[in-house]
Amino acid sequence: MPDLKLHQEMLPTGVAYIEAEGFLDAHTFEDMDNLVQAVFRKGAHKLIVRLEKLDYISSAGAGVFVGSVGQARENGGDIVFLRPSASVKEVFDLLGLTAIFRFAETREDAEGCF
Amino acid sequence: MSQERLLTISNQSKNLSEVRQVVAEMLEPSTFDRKQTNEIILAVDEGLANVVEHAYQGGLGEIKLIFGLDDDSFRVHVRDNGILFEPSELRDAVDIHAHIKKGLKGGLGLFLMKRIMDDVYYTHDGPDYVNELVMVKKVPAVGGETS
Repeated sequence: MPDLKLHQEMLPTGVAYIEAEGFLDAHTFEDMDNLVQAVFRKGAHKLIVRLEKLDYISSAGAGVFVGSVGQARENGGDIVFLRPSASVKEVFDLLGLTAIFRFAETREDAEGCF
Repeated sequence: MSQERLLTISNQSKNLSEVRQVVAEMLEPSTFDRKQTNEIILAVDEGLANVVEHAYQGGLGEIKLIFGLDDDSFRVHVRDNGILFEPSELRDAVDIHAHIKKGLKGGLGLFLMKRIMDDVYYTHDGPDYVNELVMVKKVPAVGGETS
């Protein structure tokens, strides 16, 4: 059964680091949304989301980030994507998100975006 | 080459992955390349996710899917007996900046379906359904591009 695995930790720099693995669709997006909102509630608004092992994303999954990035930026933060898989990048391209979000190849580069 | 697959599922989001798998298997021997196949799977997922979320308004219901593939096109029919759904518009573009400003998380699926497929439309009042979503994608000629 394909599903979504999430891991989250706070980096020493105060940046929230999230790893997503599996399938981020209309069945699983609420888990990601709840995690992002929980991070915001802790006062952290700088997020790195690693998407290297995310096999699939639909508009429900991408919508979590579209609907949250404004709140992150209003609070001095942002959402930076780390190494999205090819199939995920293609969906971001279709939605025009590659021009709006920032992407990084390494965690250090991602932290440098803030 | 011509094949048809019929599938009846309940309106639960856990069934989306099974349907994506069926579409992937069906398109595997076709002339759609990997990127086109992934996009079609996404369009089907978006159309079905809308029906799953909205058709039966929180209650349980049945969704019938019909997939047809021949030398000319891949056709998808998604039928339900829920509330009447008549999209006000199927947008060719979406204002992502407005979504971000308003914190909107939904409303991107119909745009993706329209963007990916060659034809997307809804019909109503068939003999055994209230809503039917129809999506069509032309099959690329061998060694050529469709669009």
